[in-house]
Parts: sequence; structure tokens; C-alpha cells
Amino acid sequence: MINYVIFLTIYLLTVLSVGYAAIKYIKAESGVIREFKVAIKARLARVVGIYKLSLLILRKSFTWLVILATILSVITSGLNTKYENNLVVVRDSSLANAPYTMLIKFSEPVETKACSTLLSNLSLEGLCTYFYRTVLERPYQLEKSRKLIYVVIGVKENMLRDLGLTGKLQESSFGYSEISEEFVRDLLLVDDEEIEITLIRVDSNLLKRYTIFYKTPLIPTQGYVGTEPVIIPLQHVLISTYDNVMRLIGSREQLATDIIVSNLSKAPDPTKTFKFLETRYPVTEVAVAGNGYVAYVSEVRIPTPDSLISAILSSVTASIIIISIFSSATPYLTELRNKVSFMGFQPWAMTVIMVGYTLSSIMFPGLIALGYVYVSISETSTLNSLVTLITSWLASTTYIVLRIRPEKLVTEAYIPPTPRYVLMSSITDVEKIVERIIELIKTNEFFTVEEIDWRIDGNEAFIHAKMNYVDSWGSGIDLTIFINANSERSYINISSAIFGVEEVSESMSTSINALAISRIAGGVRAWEATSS
Amino acid sequence: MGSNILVIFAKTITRSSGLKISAIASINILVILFLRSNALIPYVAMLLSVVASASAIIVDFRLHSILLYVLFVYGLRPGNVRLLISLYSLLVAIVLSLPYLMIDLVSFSLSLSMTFLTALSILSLIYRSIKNTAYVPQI
Repeated sequence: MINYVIFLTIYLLTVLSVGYAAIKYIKAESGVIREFKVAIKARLARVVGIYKLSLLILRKSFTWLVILATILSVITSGLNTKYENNLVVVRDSSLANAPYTMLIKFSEPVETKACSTLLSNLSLEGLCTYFYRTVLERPYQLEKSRKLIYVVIGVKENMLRDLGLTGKLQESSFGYSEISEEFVRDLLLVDDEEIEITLIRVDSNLLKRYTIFYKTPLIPTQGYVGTEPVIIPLQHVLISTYDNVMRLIGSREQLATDIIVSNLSKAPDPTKTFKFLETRYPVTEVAVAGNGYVAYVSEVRIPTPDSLISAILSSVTASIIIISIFSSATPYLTELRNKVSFMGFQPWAMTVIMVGYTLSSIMFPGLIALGYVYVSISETSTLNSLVTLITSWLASTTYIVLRIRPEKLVTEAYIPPTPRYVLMSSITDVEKIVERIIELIKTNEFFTVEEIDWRIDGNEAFIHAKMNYVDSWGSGIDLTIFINANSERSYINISSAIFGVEEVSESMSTSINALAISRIAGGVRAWEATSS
Repeated sequence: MGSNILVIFAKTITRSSGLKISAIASINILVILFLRSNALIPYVAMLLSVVASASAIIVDFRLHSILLYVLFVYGLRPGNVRLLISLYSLLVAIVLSLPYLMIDLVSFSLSLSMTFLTALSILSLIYRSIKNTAYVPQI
């Protein structure tokens, strides 16, 4: 209770202090805040202006044609989309005399009768071998061994014999490679239910190397390094007979995640097989090996060349229509640009207005049409429509922005920079000032002094210096300095003129000017500061 | 006089961008129709042709305005001006509808009438505005 009171007091004191400080700060800075508000309002007025000008163009009747052209081309592109399953063919001479074998992979377990259905419908003859290979979403746990099991594999008994598991595996017996004894009794925790099982040692090298199809390992793969598959670590893998695995997962039917059809009577067409299967089962890949090649057909779909040509042509048509409409609107837009310019807007304001206009009239309706294509045609068609939309928008925006760009304000006449610099100093001794300036001119390492004259007349003085710029032959600066002093301060007026035997570029003139004047201005200032 | 008008008209056609745009759009639509994989494509492409016919007239808005103004000042009868307008619209419509000959004559005639009416409407609007206001944009 005491603690509660202490903390509450500290809390209230902190809140009051922060509040008091905030009020004091706002009062102190109110002038700044007002200025800030004025600046923000001024900027907002420009934003509102740009927005209103965009609306002005958007309300023009030609906008309807732009919108229609965009929507129609996006829909045309979407409708004309054709996709095909990705087909990859790998040549391998080691398979030259091998009989045809087919692998079918499913994303979810299917009934084993899928194989007989396929063979009968495609008029094929072959031997079906089933595999149940699943990666568990929720791992099982070996309680005594303290290992997590992510993969359960069910195979036919003859295959287990190949892996060194001789004889029929008893009920609840599983092959496991990460034990040192031949047999180990353990408890498998499956969804909070403990099952007593027997683990039988299986040779890890055999298990690792065992393949069910051309370079396809029995253990599910995590990914590939180059062309080499990376399998799931064997400490997370249990293998057993079909019946044992079906009992473990609680399925009454025989399920398979992979089917191998070997000794096929003829070469099956993988694309045709995939198309047949995808209408009935969740197939992810069909691969056929034999006669010197392996052909893979996967669920990954790629657009056909025809389809892409159609998308590009749709975007070209839309771009032509939109550009021709913009072309006719150019005089109006140019006039608008001039008016905007007179209002004090920067040239980029018109670019912003036009980009905003194309975003509203092309991108916005285009995205709505894209949504329609996605929902009513197909997800895959959206890519084609997107290509059309982006191409049309880019082409149209580039055209109109370049077309209404203001002419460059380049003048042919050369205007040399002739700045005048006035320096005020608290030192009123004219002679000393003249001496100092002459010293500064003579010690300027960027120039060689060709001539220097000066005259002092009472409180007034005059200096003339002609200096050659050391980094460029034939160019330099002509300095004229007037000094006028009264009882309080002195005034130093510096005028400069750049000369050159050839035309001196503007940037070089600016550099020469800066180097000469800054030396005098800086030197006098530093001298004044140190002498007082 | 008639031959002079025809020369002016022919020059306008050669100087116009509208027919070139119609030709490019027509070729594109032809390829799209050739590669079609959906039964709705001809109808959507037909609507695209209609929009293209409108843009083919709009792109030469100033040129048409000047031509119609000249013809108007020349003393051409309104009926004859309308005939020339119809002729130009028909030309644009034929160019844009040619790809539909690939499908059938019904589609061709449907496309022809839609594109022709669109082009004619826009040209008539330009003519009407010139007749009513004698306004011609400056080059």
C-alpha cells in the first residue's frame, strides 16, 4: 500500500512537471509556431492548387476515352492469356537403354487407386509403387531418445529389405538411423498421445543414398544446392511399412504422396498425364525418365509466347490511343502550363499535375480492371494485364511529360559575372587598410600580380590591381577597390572584371572572382578580429 | 471547284495522323484476333476499335477544324461538307474494321458501323462547332 502511494505520487508529480514544461515551451515558442503555421499554409495552398489543376484536366471529356482505352486493353490482355505448365527436359545418356519410368508427386496424400485410374484412362501398362512421405506440421517426439520426428515414410516391404531391414517389421516398429543398438524400445508422443514403439537401427548411408526415381532421394528434400538435393537430417526421420505408417496417422485407406510407375509399355506424355491428373488430384509434378532423357512437368505455369505478344500488342494499342488523345490535348495543356507558370508555380508542378492525371485516369481504372481480371478470369491472367497496364501508363506518362516540358531558357549572350562586394570595417586608418589589402593581393597564391597601383587621399583611397590566374593561361581579374573612412568605420568597395584572351566559361569566371574577392574580404575580416 | 476540294481533302488525308493511327491499331487488333484464346476477345477488341476511331479523329482535331473552316469559307454546301465528313469517317472505319474480315462478314459489318458512327459523330461535332461559332484554332 505504501509502495502504491509512493509510485502514484511520483507519477502525478512527473505528469504535472511534463505538463508545466509543455505549457511553458508552447508559450515561449508561440511565435515560432505561428511562423511555422504560415509556412505550412503557404505550402498547402500549392498542394491544393496542384490538386485542383489535376481535377480541371480530369474533368475534360477526353479523359473518358483514356479510361475506356485503358480498361479495354487490360481486359483484352487478361482474356487473351494462355498458360502452360513448365516443362524441363534433361538429357542423360545413362538412361539410354532404361525402360520408361514415371514419378507422380502430390501435394496431399491421395488414394493409391489413383495409379490404376491413370493407367486405364491413358491406356498405359506398368507397375505401380506407392510411397507415403510426409513432412509433419506438428512434429512427433521420441520421449526416451529426446528427438523430434518431422518426417514419416511408409514404403513397401521389399524396399525395406533393400535398406537392410530384413524380414517383416512388427506392428509399431520403425526404422531409425540415429541409434547405436539394433533394437530400442521408446515412446512416441503423437498429438499428446503416447505410443509404445520399437526402433530398429537402419544404415544411415543406405537411407541417405536411396533414390526412388532419377536423382530423387527417398528422404524428402529441403531444397537444392546447385543440382544436388539437400535432404532433411536423418535424426528427424522414421521409416516403416505402409500398414504401420497408416496406423500411425490413423488412416483406414491406403494413401500415397508419391507414385512410381515402372516398366511402362510405352513412353507417356508428361504434359498430357499432368493435365489428366490435375483435374482429379492435387498433383505437383510428373516426371518421365527413359530413352536418354528425363522430362519434368510441374505445377508452375508460365505464359505462352502468344500470350505475351498479345499483352504487348494490347498495351501498344492502348498507348497509341492515349498518346493520340494527349497529342490533341497538348495545346490546351501547354496553355495551362504557361498560366501555372505565371501563377508562380515551379516547372515541376506541371509534371506533378500530369503524373497525377495519368495515375488517376490510367492507373486507377486500370487497377480496377485488373481486379476484375483477377476475380473473374484467373489469377494467372493478372500478370498479362499488369504488363499491359504498366507499359501503357509508362508510355503515356513519358510522352505527355516530355511534350509539355517548358522550353529551356538558354541565352546565347555571354554575361560575365561582375559582382560588387562592399566591406565595412571598424578600422578607420586608411593607410593601414591599403597596406593590408595590397599585401593580401600580392600573397594570393592563385594569382600573379601583373600590375598594382594605389593612391591615398585623406580619408579616401583607391587601389587598382591586374592579376593573372595561374591555373589558366591568358585569363585573370581586374580589381578596382575604393576605400572610404569616417571617424567610426571604413567602407571598402570592391569591383571586379574578369578578362581572358579566349572566352572564359561562366564557371571559371565565378571561380576566379571568388578566389580574388574572398582573399581580400576574408583577410580584412581576420585582420580586424585579431588587431582589436 | 470540285476538283480543288478533292485536292484539299486528299492533302488533308495524307497530312493527317488519324489514318496512320487507325492502320497501326488495326494491325495490332488483327494480331490479337489471330492469337485469340477467348470467345469474348472479338467483342472487347471491337470496343477498342471504337475508342481507336474516336482517337483517330481527335488526334487531327485542329487539322479537321481548319479543313472544315476552309470548306465552309469556300462556300461549299453543307450537304457536300457532310458527304466529305462521311467519306473520311468511312475510310477510318474501314481501316479499323478490316481485321474482322478474318472472323466473318457479320462481325466486319458490326465493327464497321460502330467505328463509322463514332468517327462521324465526332467529326460532326467539330463541324457543328465551326458552323455555329466560326471558331478555328490557330496553328
